[in-house]
Amino acid sequence: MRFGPFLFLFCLFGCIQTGCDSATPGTPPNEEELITTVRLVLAGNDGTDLDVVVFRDLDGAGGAAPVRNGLILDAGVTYTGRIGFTDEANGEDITAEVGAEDEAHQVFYTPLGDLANWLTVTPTDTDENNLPVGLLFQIAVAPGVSGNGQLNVVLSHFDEFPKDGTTRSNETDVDITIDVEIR
Amino acid sequence: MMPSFRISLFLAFALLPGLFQPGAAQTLSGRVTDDHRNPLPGANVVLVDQQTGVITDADGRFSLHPPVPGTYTVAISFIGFETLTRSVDLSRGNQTLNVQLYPDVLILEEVEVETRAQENRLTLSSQSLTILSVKELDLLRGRTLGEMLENVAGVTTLNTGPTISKPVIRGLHSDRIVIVNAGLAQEGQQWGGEHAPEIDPFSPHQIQVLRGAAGVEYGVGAIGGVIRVEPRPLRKTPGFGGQFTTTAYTNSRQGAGALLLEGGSPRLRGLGWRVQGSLRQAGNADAPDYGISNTGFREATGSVAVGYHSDHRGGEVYYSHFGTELGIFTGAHIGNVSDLERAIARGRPQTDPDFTYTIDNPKQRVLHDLISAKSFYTLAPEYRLEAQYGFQHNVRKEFDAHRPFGSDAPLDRPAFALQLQTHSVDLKLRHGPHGNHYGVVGLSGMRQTNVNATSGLLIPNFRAYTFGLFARETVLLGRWTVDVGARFDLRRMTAYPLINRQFETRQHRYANASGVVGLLYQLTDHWSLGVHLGTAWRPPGVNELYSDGVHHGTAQYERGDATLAAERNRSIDATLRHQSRYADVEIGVYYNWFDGYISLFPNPEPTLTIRGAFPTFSYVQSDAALWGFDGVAAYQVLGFLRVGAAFSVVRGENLTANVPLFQMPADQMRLSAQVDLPAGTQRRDTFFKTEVRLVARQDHAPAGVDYAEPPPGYALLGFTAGTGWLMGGTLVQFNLSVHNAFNTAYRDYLSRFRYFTDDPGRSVVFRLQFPFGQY
Repeated sequence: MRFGPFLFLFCLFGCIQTGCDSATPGTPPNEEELITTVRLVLAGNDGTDLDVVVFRDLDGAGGAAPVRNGLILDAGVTYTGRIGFTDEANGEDITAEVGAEDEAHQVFYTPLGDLANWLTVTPTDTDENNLPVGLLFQIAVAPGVSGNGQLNVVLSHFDEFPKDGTTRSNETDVDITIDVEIR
Repeated sequence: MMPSFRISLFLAFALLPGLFQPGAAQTLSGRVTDDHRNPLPGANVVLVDQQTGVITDADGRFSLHPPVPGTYTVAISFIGFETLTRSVDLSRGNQTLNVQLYPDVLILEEVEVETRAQENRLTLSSQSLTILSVKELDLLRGRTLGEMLENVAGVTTLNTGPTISKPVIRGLHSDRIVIVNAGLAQEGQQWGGEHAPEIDPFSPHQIQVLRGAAGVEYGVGAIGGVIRVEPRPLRKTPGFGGQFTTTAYTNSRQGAGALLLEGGSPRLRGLGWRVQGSLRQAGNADAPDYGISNTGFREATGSVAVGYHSDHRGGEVYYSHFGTELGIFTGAHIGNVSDLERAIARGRPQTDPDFTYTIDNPKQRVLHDLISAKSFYTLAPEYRLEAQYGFQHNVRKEFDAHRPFGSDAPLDRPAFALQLQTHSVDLKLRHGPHGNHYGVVGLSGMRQTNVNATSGLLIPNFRAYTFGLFARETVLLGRWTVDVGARFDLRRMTAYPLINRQFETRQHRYANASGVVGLLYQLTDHWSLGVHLGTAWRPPGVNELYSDGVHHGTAQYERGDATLAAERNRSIDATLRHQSRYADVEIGVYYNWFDGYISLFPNPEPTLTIRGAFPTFSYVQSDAALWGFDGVAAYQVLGFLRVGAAFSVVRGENLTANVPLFQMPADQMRLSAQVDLPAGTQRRDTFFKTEVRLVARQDHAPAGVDYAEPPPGYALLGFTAGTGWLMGGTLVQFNLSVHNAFNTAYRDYLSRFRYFTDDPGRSVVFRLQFPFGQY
């Protein structure tokens, strides 16, 4: 009777069962580098200074909800500002990397709703193609207005999508909305 | 021999036109015996091109009287034996043809396929079953497996661009159907909608599509159906031969070539081998108005098989390798929902690239290695033991478009890499035919591990064991065929999800039974009705349990649920078949009810991330039902003109939430007309075919779940012309096809890229097949 081959197969299966395998994971992987924190530093021409972490999501997508802080701006003031992107989970300053690859990045600032009538944001830096970058900017607040609104901040990455200075790419690295109150 | 099968043989012959009138000019007579020189009564001797024939008498003798002198191709066949084809020259008087048939040990489970000239499809199965023969497959070479199955009634495809297509059987796909490749259930991250089956499209010699719960022989997951891909059987007789195939496509400038070599040992009868390899390369595909960037692919596959078959025992060892690199359309690589919405509003891709073969990131790189060793042993005249061991190693790497922030990691470091290893053992004991019944009992076991490489974690590492036990019996009672089967499966899985940045250990255990009852009634000589009742189940997939992140391809945040239970279904389907001299019809109707159907359901609140707000979906279980009808019909209008139609209608409903199921195929229909030219001296099998494919808009889609309305319906026109040419004894086949002849711009609802780009436009395909030796 030729049961030999079948016995062999059973044994093979059994041996595999008891053997060690690599399914049991080792140490958890390092958190993938990603932007966790967006910070705005503004200096008004009336002497006021603002340093606000407008968005912080330390554990990345999911998990605990992100923490958002709004901005309080004075009417009639022009602020000179810069934006900072950080990976606080890994202690990395992403702003410097965006600056180094500035021809492939642009920060877009879009006031939404009524804020569009009260506030204008103008980037003040350019890349080697003379297209705006947006890491440095100016916010001009119209005089005599007050109220609440939202500012949308987008960091666009331009890989295959061409950068033309006005159009967002289809690869967004940051897309947040900041609550803005004007007094 | 086997008296019970003479009933079906007799029925088969009832369908054939009557025998030629006696008193004709020449006679072809002879005797058919088996390999031990015993006469074979009831064997079919058929004149292939005329589709007429006789059966041998009790002494194995036959006599044919074709009225016209000339050369005839004769096929001699008998169930359980290899069909023999001979060319006979009757231009100069009577001829004698004595043949010996050799047992064909490759009995395809309960489905026994008779000669291609006289498939008695009426009694093939109580279920909806379609068999694509090698001739039909040869007209589709160069396409992916999913695309080859598009023409089967009830089957549609889920596409992720022109390079990735997955078969959808009556609305079900991925983890709900089983694809069996050379006897082994394909295991390769099939849970992913953008993970195509890793099967060499040049290798299938026959594809069987079983629609509906086919639980008992195929294990967990065969809820929607089974697709069996069979390579060419190994030679059992001495000789050497092979076939070279090449195809070229204008759209995407795809070139492909495949070579098959096979041989049988002259010293040890029954020992055979086969070596097969193929290469395919394509560049960017073109939609009618623009190029679709980064949609090229490269594929290299190869396989080796060696086996020995005698009538009492045999064994075969098979190794295959599949490797592919696929570009993913760059316009589909979006950051967040507003990117997706702007892409949809734009209506077309932002860039219109020049043609290139270069594959950039984002891309997939997949390797699939398979080894199987199988053997069979005949214990007693009607008992056969079969054993198979299989090992599969699947490595899937996906490369992101740009490197993560601040890293100097080279772009050829994958965003994730999954390694799936599967060991499986199957044991079956087949018995029969005893009188009027036959059946099988079996045992199967599987061990599977999934390991993530150091970068990225798409689905957790896991280790799973599955054990199954089944039995199936078929009884032939006059005009009835009754089929009963039952199966019990146990699955134990240990998963290691990353929770709060720590690996946890989670155990899952599932046990369930499935069963089928099939009744087939032969209503008349030309009509049969099959009714099939089945229940099947599947355990939740690792992605359904542990997803927790943004699925970039769809701009949604997906959340799994580790408490999901197994999904169970109960289905009923009926198939009506008609087969006559002029017509061939098969219509199926089905209702498939699910208890615990797992699907993504929208959450009321989006998930806020640094990239924006993502609509959030959770895997939930609900009661659901899928129902529909499909069918295929062919009618021989005139001797040389054959018209055909096929249609498919699928409806799916989430019964708990009272909304339609997402991503159900739209209603579709195919109409065709084929003209066959009579054979010439060297020219054979010349035909011209035209085909229209009509797809309706999907009007039964759930509201508020999709970012874009389902695309409009469309019609595509195609042509194929082909011929065989006899060159020095071999029949070389050429064919030329045009797909989408009018270069229609369209988007298919089941295409994941329909938000961004049209589907490919016109393509002209050239195929050449060159057999040589004793192929």
